[in-house]
Amino acid sequence: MITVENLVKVYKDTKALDGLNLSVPNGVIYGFLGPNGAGKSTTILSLLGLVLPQEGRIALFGEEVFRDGTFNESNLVKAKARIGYMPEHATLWEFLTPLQTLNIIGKAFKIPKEEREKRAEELLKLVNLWEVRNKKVGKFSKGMRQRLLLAQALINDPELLILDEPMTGLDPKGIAEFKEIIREQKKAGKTVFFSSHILAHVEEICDTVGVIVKGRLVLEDSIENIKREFLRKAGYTIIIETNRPVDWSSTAWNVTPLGERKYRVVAPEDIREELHDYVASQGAKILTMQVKEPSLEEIFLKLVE
Amino acid sequence: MRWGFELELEKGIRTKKIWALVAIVIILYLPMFYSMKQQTGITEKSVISLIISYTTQVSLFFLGIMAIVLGAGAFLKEMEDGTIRIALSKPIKRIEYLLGKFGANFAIFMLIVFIMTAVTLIGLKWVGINVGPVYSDVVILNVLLGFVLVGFITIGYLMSLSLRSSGTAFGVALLVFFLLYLVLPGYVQYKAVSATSYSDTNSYTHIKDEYYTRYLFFAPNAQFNVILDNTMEIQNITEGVYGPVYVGLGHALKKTVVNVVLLVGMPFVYLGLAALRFKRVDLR
Repeated sequence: MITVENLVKVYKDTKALDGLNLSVPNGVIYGFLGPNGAGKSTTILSLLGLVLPQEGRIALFGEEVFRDGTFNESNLVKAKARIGYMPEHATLWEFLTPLQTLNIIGKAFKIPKEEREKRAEELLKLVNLWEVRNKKVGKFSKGMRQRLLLAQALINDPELLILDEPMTGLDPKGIAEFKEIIREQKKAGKTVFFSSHILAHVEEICDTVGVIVKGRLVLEDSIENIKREFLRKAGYTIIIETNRPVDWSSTAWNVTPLGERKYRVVAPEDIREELHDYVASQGAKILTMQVKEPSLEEIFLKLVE
Repeated sequence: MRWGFELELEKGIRTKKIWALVAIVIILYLPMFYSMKQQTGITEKSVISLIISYTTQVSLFFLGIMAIVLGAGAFLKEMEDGTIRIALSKPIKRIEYLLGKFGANFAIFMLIVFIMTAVTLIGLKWVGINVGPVYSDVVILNVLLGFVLVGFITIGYLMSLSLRSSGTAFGVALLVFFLLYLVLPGYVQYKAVSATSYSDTNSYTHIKDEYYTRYLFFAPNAQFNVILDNTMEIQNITEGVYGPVYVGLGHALKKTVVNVVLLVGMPFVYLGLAALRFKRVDLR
C-alpha cells in the first residue's frame, strides 16, 4: 500500500528525513510513532506530495509517485483520489458549514451531487455533527473541528486513510468514537496509517507499529513481536512475594529486594517455573507473582533514548 | 482548476474587507460628482479628465493596497490555517489550484471594476452629463484599472510564496506597494526632470513615459500612468496658444501598445513565476 525507500528531506540545515524506509501492507492499522521533530509529519506530507523530498522513492498502491526529487503528478493525483487525509493543526474553511465543506470536498473527488449529499449526511451523523450541519465552522470548538476533519477525510470512502495526530483535542467520548471508526475502516478492508504521540491509543488499535527517530525508522513490527523482542533484549521482570525470606546468592538472576519478602527478578527469558522450583528448594512458597510486561511507552522511551 | 476557482470565489465574495474597501472608494467618489454638479457648463472632456484623476489617485491607491495585500496573504494564510494541506491532499494538481485561485481573484477584481464602472456612470447621470460620449472611456479606464489590480495581486502571490509568515508578507506588501506607487515613480520623474526641463511639459512627459516604460516595466501602476498620460496632447487651442487637450483613451491605447502589453502581460509573467515557485514550495 505504502512503500518508502531511502527518503531524504532537508529543511535548510535540518535533516527531517534521513534515508527513511517504510512499508505499510494492505488492510492494517499502522501506528507511526516518534518523538517531536522525528519526521512523522514530514513523512505524511511527503506521501501526499505536500513537501518535496530531495532523494528517495515513494510508491502508493503499487504506483511510483516520487523518485529522486520529482513527483509524478499524474500518478500522485490518481493515488490521492484513493486517500483520505486528516491533518494535524488544521482548520477548515471557517465561512463554510459542515454540509458545504463536505460538498465542496466531494466535488474535488468528482463525486456526483446525489451521492455527495448522501455521503455527507452519513458522515456527519457518524461524527455527530448532523445537528450542527448548517452552523459555520468558524463557530466550532476544537473537538467539533476534529470530527469534521475526520468526516472530510472519509468523503471519498478512501482505501488508505492517513491520520496525523487525529485524537488531539477530543474528549474521552470522542476518542472512543474515533477509535471505533478506525476499527470499522479496518473491518471494511481499508488501510489506516495513523501517527500519534499518545502511545496508549496506538497500542490499543494498531496492528503494526513503526517508530521513527531522527528521520530514520528504528523499528517496524507488530506490537506483539515488538514486545517479545523487547522482553528478549531487556529481560523479563517478575515481582514475587514469598512467605519467608529467600537466599538468592546461588542464582544467576538479577534479583533486587523490594521488601523483606518481596523481590524483583530480572531474567533473560520466562523463568516462572524455575522460580517456583528455586523458591521451593529454599523452603519457601511464592504467595504472589506478577510478570511485568513493558508498555509500548516504555519500549518507545527506550528506543528514543 | 474549476474546483480551486469555486472555492476561492466563494471565499473572496465572503471577504467583508474587500467590499468594505470598495464601499469606501465609492464614498470617496461622491465629492467628485458633487463638485461636477456645482459646475455649470462642464464639458464631457473635463468630466473624463476628472474621473481619470480620481481613478489614479483614489481607486488605484486604495484598491492597489488591497490587491497586493490580498495576494501576499493568498497562500501564506492558507498554509498557516492548514486549509491548503487539506485542499492539495485531494486529487488536485498544484498548478490547477493556483490557476483556480488566480481565476477567482481575477473574477472578483473584474467584478469590482464592473461596480466602479456602474457607479461612475450612475454618478455622471446624476450630475446631468450625457454619458454617451464618455461611456467607452469610462469602461476602458476601469478595465485598465482592473489589470493594474491583477498585476498587484500576482506580485503579492510571489511574496506569499517566498516569505514565511502572513504578518511579514503584509508588511513587505505595503513596502513594495509604496516603492512601486511612490518611490520608484518619484525617482524616475526626478531623472526625467534632470534629462529635460520641467517647464517643457511635452518633452518632460515624453521622457518620463519613456523612462516609465524602460525602467518601470514591472510596475503595473507606471504603465497605467503612461497610458493615461497619452489621453492628453499638447495642441493648438486657439491661434498661437498651445495647451493640453483630452484626446480620449482609445487614442491613448493606440499610442501606447507596448505599455498596454506590459500592463496586461506582466501579471501573467508574475503568475508564471509564482507557478514555478508554487510547484516546489513545501506546504507544511
